[in-house]
Amino acid sequence: MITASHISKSFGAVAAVRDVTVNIKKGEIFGLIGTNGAGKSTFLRIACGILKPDSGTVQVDERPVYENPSMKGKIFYISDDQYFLPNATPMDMARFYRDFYAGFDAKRFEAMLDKFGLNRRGRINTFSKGMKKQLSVLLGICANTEYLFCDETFDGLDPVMRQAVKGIFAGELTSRDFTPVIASHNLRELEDICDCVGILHQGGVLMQKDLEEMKLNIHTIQCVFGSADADAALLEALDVVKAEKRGRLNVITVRGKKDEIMQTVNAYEPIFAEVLPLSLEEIFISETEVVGYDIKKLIF
Amino acid sequence: MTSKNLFFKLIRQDCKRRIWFSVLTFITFFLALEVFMTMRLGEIGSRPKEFDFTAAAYVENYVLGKAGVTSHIVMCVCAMAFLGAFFGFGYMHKRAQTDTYHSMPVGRGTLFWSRYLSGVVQFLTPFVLHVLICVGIAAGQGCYTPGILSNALWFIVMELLIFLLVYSVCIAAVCLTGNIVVGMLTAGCMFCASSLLALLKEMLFQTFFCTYITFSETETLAFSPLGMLGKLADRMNAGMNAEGVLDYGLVWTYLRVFLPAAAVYAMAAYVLYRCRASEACGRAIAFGAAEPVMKTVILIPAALYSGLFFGQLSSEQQFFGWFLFGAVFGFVVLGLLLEMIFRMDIRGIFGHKKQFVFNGVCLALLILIFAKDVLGFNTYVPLDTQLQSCAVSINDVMDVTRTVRKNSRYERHTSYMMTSAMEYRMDSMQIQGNPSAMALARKAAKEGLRYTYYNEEAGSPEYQRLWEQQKDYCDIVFGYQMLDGRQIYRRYVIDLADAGTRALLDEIFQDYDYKIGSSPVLNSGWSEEYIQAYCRSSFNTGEVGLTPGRQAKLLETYQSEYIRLTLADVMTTYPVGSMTFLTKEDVEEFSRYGYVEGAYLIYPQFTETIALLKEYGFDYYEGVAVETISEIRVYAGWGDDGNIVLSYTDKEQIAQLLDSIVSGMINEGNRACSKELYEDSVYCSIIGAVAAAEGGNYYYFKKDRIPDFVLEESADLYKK
Repeated sequence: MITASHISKSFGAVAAVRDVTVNIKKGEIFGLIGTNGAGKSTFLRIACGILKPDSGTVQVDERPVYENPSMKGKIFYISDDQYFLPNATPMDMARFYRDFYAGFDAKRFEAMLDKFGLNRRGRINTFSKGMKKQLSVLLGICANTEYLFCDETFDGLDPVMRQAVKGIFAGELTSRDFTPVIASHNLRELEDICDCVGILHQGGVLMQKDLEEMKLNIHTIQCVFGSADADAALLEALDVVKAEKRGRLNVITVRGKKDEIMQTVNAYEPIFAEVLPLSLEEIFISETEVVGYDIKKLIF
Repeated sequence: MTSKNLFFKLIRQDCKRRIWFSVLTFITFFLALEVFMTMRLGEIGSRPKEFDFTAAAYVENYVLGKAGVTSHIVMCVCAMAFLGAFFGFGYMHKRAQTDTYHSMPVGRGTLFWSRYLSGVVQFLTPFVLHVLICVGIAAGQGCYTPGILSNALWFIVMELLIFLLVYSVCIAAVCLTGNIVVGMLTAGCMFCASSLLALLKEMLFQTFFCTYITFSETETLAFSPLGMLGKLADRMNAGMNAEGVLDYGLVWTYLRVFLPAAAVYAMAAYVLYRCRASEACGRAIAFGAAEPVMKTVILIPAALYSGLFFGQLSSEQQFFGWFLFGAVFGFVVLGLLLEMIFRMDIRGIFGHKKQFVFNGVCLALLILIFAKDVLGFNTYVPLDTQLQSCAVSINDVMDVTRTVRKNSRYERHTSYMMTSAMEYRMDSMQIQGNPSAMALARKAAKEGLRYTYYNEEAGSPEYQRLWEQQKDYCDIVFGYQMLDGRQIYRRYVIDLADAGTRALLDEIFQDYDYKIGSSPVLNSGWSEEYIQAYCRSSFNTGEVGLTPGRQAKLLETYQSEYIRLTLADVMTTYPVGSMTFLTKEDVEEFSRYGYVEGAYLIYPQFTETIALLKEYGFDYYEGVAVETISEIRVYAGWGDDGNIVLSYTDKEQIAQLLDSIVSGMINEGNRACSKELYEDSVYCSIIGAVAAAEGGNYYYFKKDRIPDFVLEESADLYKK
């Protein structure tokens, strides 16, 4: 289990991570979602012991990580800008990591290289960005560590490879103690793989929830009422995340259980009311909008 | 879980990864050692007479000796240390690499020392191989000597220590910075910091403190590699004897300092490495707290250097104005430049106004301290209660300079250390219980006389006034040996025309400790084995053979008469000649160069010495036959067409001239107190079979003794 408690980290005047508290349970796939500059990479770098937090603590299996090689041995970190030795081949990298990670499975690595169609003896500097990402994931998987931290790792993968990697993750989860932590802003990628997500925004955690629970607890309703008074009264009665009015149509994003929400809406006798499914991306946008991150201003 | 023996695996891994470094080291030392040595051996073999040493001696004492510090070898070692440090630890300047290594299950200590050691192994392995190959080549060419192997071992140890020192300093620079360019600049600064500071101190003290004088060996700062290498080079020179054989044992007395110095720098680098935040890569300086300190340390000396540079370009009268301009200019420009480098952004140049002001105030204070002598450097004279003894050197009064071959500061019997009369006196003289010495020091410090250099036209009233004022000025150096072990030196200007000064000077000159401490022969010469005394009168020279008995008697006689000699004698009496004691090595040197320093003046008052030397075979009063002289040329100053030369071949005139002149050779080293004895604008040379003229053919006219015919003829020529 990874426990980050009130960690903060600043780079000069910039607060990259502010008072973040996150708990990552063993055996779950944890997705770390955040806008650009939200502090995802910084959080992962702190969590795997590269950076020392200015305040707060990070513990893996109840022991600190920073400058603790035995704990670091349980973690493999895949950076968004992964370093490969100059002129190295995949096999050179395997030998490199094998010296650090005693559990590195070289045979499996070779097999997986073949499976993914990566040339064992090919120079990595001739590989495409996607191939390098694949290689990083394979090295991380074959290091056989309990925790795998992936920073934007899925971004360069094509859909087929993405599915293949997801499959490997699923396999690892069933066969051994394995806890991947995946940071990304590609919300659709995380939606169908993560068990739990934490949303970071401007250095702080907005929320951390089980994905299903998160989906069950936030909904968008479209409804039309006969009078403006009913519109206003409904907004008062609900835990509104966001509300828009398009003509007479109210589009409201609301926290709460679907049934309870509909019960409240129906109490105001709507002319029309329905619940729309909310994707993770929409949840993310809604949550960030609440704290002043107006996605539309960026898009339009 | 981490693998076992990770430390050694990391070394192996790093060696494999940086194999090019070993290859580069191999190629570099192949060229610097084998190729260079083979070329030189070829030259020595083909033209042996042109070299003072044999091929075997060359290999033993130069290739595997002195070259290790004084030539290209040490440069190669330093370059390899620099490359090794930057390519071994340069990963800290790149985020991707830093993240990779620091996320690995390995402690920073293990990572640091494995890389450190790997760099050493990668340097040492090819280097040792090349040294062994050199020994093999020497053996193959018949140049093998028993000393080669031990010298090779010493050589490897010496180069390894130099490598470790420079390597550790460069690693510390890498750890201190987050950017490769700034890292290299920092490494450069750290490499030569102490030498630059020592030079700056020297320049500032010489510029602003007129009483400042130093003897470099005791004053040199050496906490950075360049300064330490300079000291090591000095020690190497001292460690070579007359035959060029290097004594590594002596070199080791200083070389052993390299090991703790390298250890200190390595530990400093390690601490910096441990404390260095991973996010520091990309920044100019890895530690925020170090930035203002570094700025101050760089900016203030650089501004002072700039001031001195501009000041030196200007004339003496305008020096201070231009010094101030240079200091302010350097301070502002470099201050802004440093801010720009540290911020890596031209917009950041005004980022730290408070630091800028603080440094400016510090600079202003320093300039004030130097310019106004706020700390009283020039007027400082220790209290009698603080003093153990003092040494006095009156410039150009009985100066006897020679190669000190015994009891040198390195306690080396055959050292080639050259010391001036002044330096010798500062080392050897221990005046105690003579109040005149300190009274003169206090008087000189209080008066604060200084030479004034003037640009006025010769003959102008101002020129004449200054000339009159300064014509009897003389430099005097005091060395204070303090009770706490410190040695403090001061140089003053005294006026010999001042009766009070003269009285004090007379008393110092009469002091037994002054007399003995002022001369190598009278002080330590007793234990030296001289085989010859080279005697010179104005017109004759001759060698007198010495046996131990003769040497002791001559020294004793000369010393007893020299001790009785007063300053008044020196200032009013023409010496009859000089005498130089020669060891076996001196005789060889004399036969090679025709000259050996260290001539002791013989005054007419030294009747017993003169008699003894006459008994041994040299008569100071033996004249010269006029018939042997074909011409005397008199140089009577400068006219419109250059030097006015008057030629005299008439035997009567020659006889008159011989009666009026004294050889310049026997008056060297005694100029200050004999100004009144000689004409300073007219001198002459002798053409003919005069033995004394061969070694130095210039003669001074005794005061007011220029013959009338010379005066008339020269006056006529001036009129024309």
